Amino acid sequence: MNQLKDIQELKKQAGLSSDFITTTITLANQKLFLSYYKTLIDEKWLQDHFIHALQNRNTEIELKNVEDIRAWIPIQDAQITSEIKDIQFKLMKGHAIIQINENDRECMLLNLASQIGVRNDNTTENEFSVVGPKIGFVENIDTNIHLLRCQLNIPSLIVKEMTIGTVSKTKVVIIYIDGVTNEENIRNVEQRLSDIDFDVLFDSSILDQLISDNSFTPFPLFVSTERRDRVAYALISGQVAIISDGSPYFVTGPSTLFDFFISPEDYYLPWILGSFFRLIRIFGVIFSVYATSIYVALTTFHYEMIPKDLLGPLIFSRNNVPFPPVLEVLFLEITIEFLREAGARLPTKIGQTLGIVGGIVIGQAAVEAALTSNILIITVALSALASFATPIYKMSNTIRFLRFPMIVMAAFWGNLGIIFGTCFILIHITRLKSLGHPYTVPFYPLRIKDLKDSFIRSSYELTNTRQGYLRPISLIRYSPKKNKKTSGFEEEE
Amino acid sequence: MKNQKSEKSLISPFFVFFLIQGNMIGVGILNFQRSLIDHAGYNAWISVIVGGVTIHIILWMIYRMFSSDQEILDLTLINKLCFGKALGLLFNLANVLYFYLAGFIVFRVFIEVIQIWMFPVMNIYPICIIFIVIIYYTLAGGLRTLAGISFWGSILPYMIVFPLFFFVLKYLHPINLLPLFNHTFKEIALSTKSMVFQFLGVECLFMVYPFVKTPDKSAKWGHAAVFFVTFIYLIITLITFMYYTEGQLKHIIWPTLTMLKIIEIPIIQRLEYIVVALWFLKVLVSVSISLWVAGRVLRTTLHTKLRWSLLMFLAGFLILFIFFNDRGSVRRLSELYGNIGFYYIYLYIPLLFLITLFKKKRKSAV
Repeated sequence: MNQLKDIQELKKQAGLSSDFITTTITLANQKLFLSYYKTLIDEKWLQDHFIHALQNRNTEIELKNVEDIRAWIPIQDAQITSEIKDIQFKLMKGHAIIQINENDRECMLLNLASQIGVRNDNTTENEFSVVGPKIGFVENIDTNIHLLRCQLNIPSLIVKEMTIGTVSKTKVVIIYIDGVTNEENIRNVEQRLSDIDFDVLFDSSILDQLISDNSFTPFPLFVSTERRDRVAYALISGQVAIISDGSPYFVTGPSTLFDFFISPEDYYLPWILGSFFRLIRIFGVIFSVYATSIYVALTTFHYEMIPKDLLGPLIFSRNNVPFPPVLEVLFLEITIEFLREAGARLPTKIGQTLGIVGGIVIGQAAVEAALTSNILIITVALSALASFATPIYKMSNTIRFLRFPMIVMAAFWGNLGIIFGTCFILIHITRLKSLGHPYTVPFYPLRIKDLKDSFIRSSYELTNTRQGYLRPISLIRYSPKKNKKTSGFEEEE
Repeated sequence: MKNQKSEKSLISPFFVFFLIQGNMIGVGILNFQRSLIDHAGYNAWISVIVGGVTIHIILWMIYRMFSSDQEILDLTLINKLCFGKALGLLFNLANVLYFYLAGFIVFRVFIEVIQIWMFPVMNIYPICIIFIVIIYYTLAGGLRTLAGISFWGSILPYMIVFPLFFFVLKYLHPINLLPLFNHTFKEIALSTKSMVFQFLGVECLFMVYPFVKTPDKSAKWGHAAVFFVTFIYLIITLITFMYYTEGQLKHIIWPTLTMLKIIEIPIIQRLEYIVVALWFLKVLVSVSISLWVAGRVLRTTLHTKLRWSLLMFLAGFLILFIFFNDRGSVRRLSELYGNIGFYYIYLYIPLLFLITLFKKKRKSAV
């Protein structure tokens, strides 16, 4: 895209579009030249407030330069400039250009950006919780920052703005809490964001990939979330949050592997239940990755490992199946993936029907046609279910992807193949980094103190400090109240 | 003492524990009992303790060498200091061979375990190749990844395998251990000699030391590792002795695995299939550390690129594998390595220790 030289050239190019309006407002003996994209601005506002105010002015100052418009009507969000880059940028963001003479280099930019097309409903769409707030973010960046500021009422919540995208010129915002977040993390994010060269930034998840430490990985390196409580929690524990305009997803980092298995709900329930559900979730992940590959390993190589009471039903159910276990498993796993993919793309109402058709009819028919064993149907269905227990959708995609290499490995070398696959995953996650921080912290490198909020969610008396691996500037979040233990032995008299 | 190496490649002292025990416990723990009882019979558990104590002393010597002289950074420099330039180079190259052999033995013996216990008729070469690929992938991440995988590779197998021994407890006959002392001192010493093979690996500290953040603080973790290994071996020795009779044990090649076959839990049996597979993690750690040390020594002496030397090493694995393809030759090779290791630990390291001590005395006298 070639650089335009001045306003005239800009107007000429923009004039090719039919939604670009150039009008002249005549006021007594004075003329004002107004140009804007009618699709980007709020025309009602322009009519009601600006033109109306101009016509009903009560001062009789003559307009010599654009500065005088301010004297006519008090407009707050107006800026006077002759910088063509700035003018072009603002014009595309919904500002109107006001000139006194058509050939002036200087003009006034009036913010008339309309909010049409932004949804008003901001309940969470994908990350649900039973208890706790349901506030999510929307596609408008100012609304999102407003929502955050409502929860974190401190001036040290710093919002830094950048523009990324050669075509989209998207506003990207870095948010952190001054005095909590380690400056190295902030610098790192800023550096990486300013290094980006990209054309259209559709969503913050593109940012996530552009700034990630390693692109050859199925694992998400940053948590992206639409929940306000999650972002607020990330910020208060010393992470950096990034969001681009037009995206309801915040990207927070540096993240660790275990951040992806934490649900905000853990913190709303009593800690014992919160910990229990978290453990269930992690068990679900492990089950989901390994269940079907273990089935392949056992039925292909290690029949001896199954006790004879269980072996009977298993053999019986596989009796008429004409395929080797690996094909049987791949067939079913891919069916489940079809269902998921189709369900995600179809309109909600059809999606539900499809779930019933897929789940019950196909499953039942496959067993009756002796294409699969019904024990396998149970296993595959359970592992698909378990993979959806992951709170962050990106991670549950990873989990489901990891199953396939595992199944193939198990088909080649049984148990040993599963361990081979596990080794690859372990080495891989050990090598991964998120914003320069190890991905598997607090396990490797081991930080005993941070373990209290990893597998289990300890009570609030214990979790009063921030996670040490983020190297926050101040470690203490709050001072816990010491509960006096009342012993039942010493009853009050 | 602070390290001059860049902060990014350093590991915290705590991980010395995992590296040392990771290198010490390899595949030997599955079959050491048979050679152990050759001399001292059922008194051989004493040899395990004696062996452990001597290794503590050796470890102390290594730490002493490093702390005595600020110029000593790793094994290659010690060799140069002790034997001069030309002879030092020779010793360094010998060390490369030694560590390489250590890696290969563990690799080869584990492949044999797979052949015997899991896939007797399967073509073994694909397994070798994927094993080698995993080793390369580990080493490509550097020492930090190695430390990480030695952490996971210890925690996971231990967590699953060691509790299994509780299921064996009800089959034990403590009376087997009696009489407590019916062998001569010499017999126990000979058994200790055979036990040293299991303790080899502690010498990896020679090259790991310069990569530890605060190396002098790692001593307690190093000793903890040796203590842990001794403890584990002692427990397993005692359990095996109480489980088998002496006559049985002479005929069983893999006592640890055979013992686990008896366990039956409701949803699964023949647990040795799981144990052998899981032990791969442990073996991977052991082989990778040995190879890493060999590569490091080669790099500091000849300034070769670590990547290329490791690729050569791994290709060498395959070639060696073709030559040592039957049980007899593998056994002869491990015996050779055991002997070399014995002299390495009890002769070479004390010798280095004495020479550095002597040189330091002379230096301070001047």
